[in-house]
Amino acid sequence: MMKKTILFSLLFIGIFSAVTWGAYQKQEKEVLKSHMENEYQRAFHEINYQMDLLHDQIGSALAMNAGKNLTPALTEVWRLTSLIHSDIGHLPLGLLPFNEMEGFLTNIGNFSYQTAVRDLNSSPMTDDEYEKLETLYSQSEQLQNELRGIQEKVLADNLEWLELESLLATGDHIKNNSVIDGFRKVDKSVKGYAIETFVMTEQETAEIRRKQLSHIDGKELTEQEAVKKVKDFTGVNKDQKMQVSKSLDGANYPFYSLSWESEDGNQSNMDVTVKGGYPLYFLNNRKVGEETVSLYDAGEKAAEFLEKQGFDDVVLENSRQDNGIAMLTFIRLIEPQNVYVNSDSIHIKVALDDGEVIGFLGMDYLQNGEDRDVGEPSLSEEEAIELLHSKFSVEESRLAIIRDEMGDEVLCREFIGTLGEDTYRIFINGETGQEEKVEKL
Amino acid sequence: MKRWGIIFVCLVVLQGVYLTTYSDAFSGQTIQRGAFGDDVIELQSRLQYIGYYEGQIDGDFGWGTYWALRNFQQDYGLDIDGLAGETTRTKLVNNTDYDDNYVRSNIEKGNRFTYYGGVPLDQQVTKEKSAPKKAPKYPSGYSENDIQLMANAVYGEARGEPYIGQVAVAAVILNRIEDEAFPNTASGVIFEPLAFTAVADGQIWLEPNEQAKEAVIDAINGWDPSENALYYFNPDTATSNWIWSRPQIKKIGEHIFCL
Repeated sequence: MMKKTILFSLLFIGIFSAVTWGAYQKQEKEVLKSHMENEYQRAFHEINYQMDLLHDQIGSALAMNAGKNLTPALTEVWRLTSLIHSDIGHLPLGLLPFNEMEGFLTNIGNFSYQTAVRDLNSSPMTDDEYEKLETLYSQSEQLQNELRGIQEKVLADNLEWLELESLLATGDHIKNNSVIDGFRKVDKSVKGYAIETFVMTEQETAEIRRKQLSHIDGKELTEQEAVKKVKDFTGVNKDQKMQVSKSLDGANYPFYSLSWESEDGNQSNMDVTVKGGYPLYFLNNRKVGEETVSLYDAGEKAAEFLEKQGFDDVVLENSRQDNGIAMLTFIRLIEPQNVYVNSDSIHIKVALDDGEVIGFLGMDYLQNGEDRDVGEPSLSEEEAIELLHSKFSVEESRLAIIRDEMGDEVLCREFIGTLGEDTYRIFINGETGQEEKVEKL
Repeated sequence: MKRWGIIFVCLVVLQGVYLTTYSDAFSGQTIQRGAFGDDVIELQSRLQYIGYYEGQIDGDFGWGTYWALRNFQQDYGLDIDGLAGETTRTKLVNNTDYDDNYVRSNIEKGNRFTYYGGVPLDQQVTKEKSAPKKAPKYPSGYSENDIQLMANAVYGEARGEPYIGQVAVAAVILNRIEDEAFPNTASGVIFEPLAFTAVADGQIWLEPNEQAKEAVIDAINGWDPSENALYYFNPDTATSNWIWSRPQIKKIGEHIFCL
């Protein structure tokens, strides 16, 4: 009898605490869930509110004629686009095609920023720019309306973002979900707007061409030829077995990927273009033993390696010793004018235990490998130094080609020097004398 | 491979020759900007001894050491190349003293100290452990913490993948940061809801191994085995139809990388 009572009370206590614990857990989960839901709701409604503001702000920029007020109005447009962009990043839209919207916002932002920062008194908005702003005004109105439509539905049906998120995450057939359809529709219209309003500039199309390596030429390699190319390049044994696979159809440029394993089990990988067999990258992921080679010697070895591979117009620009590895950057030197081209770079990794080249990166060099007409800058070195900050003490100077903000290549006078404790690199446009870029080293 | 071996042997022999014929100082290598280690510690100490180098003696050959060395070379009538080659080193050794024991023990203890000639050594050490570790400089301005965060993401997402697949995942994160249609920071890209499954299910908070970090550093240094990809997915587990519609670039391990 006694035993039974104890047993029952124990059982009762057990069940009771389990239920309490369960209830507590559920409650806690609910709190967390609603917290999460509120975060999503905030981001979503914020987007709508800021879209309204954006539309109004573009409107007021249109109404203003004078440069003095235009700058703050356009800066405000820029600020709002960046806010909306950031709020979109807080919504669980990762699996929805909503990227067009973000790209469009970035475009509006760039446009308004670039217009705002220039001196609008001396160079006021052109007719083209005004027209673009007008188009943006009407487009932002339509976007605003479409987003409002979604917002109405969310509010009317008490839609929960968390539900939407789990729908999207499981990828069940999402048909007839008004919110998701709504976002899809917005993204579609934005795509149209972007094409309509932001015709790509010459620099942008050039950049895309560079990214697609459309300028490279040469014979199309077969798999066997690619293997031979890679063996010549890396100096691995002729009998080494290699896996080869060709890039899939969506690649920007066709290439072969090769991978192989050395006798001691180290993995190496290399990609070469199908056309011409240009090396894109090479990477050998091996452990590095005790350092016996100096950074200086590693640089010499890398230079020797590059020379052997036919890269005869590059010089060592920078080197760094990091955990037994030398990271070396070579850049193109145009002779006889002695102009350095920072964008045309090759990176090499050298293992400091035996001086072997274990990494090569030739993409930047390949992408930018165009012919250039290099003349003399009209600005003399002395004239350029006059334009520098008075406290900046110049230690080294040379000529360099860099890309300016618009993406055009400009010939600059490059100065390395110190300001207080720190070292800076400053590029002065060789024609206009404008400070193109300042880097803290 | 064999050729490197021979060069290596030659180097070792050469180094031996140096060590026996020249002073008891420096290891015999030419020291250049970017180098790290004992020789740099000695170089900085000797430059500080005669007042050229005022920065911290930390074995990291940065710009401060570089300008100090060049000024020294200028004043002593040497070639001004910013390289500590044989002549420069000999000149330094002849004109300075180097107390290896004092310098190294202070570095090990993390003391703040200087090494100026003509000043008693015990006056040059402050015991405050304030010498802050300088964060290693990576290109494009990513901090040690950004790298840690990305290593977490790479480990959570691709720890079962070959090394090159991990570099590719890190490269996708970086490509997104650069792309206008994605957030502009590492954390923004990584924590975008539903962007990465490892973030959604908490695997991102597993302790990443060294390899994941190396993969991130390779990617930051520019290596992109994904060849410009913005997305990747595992074809066996992918639930979204939309992801299949992206232009596919290549397959590494279990992942298909796409634009």
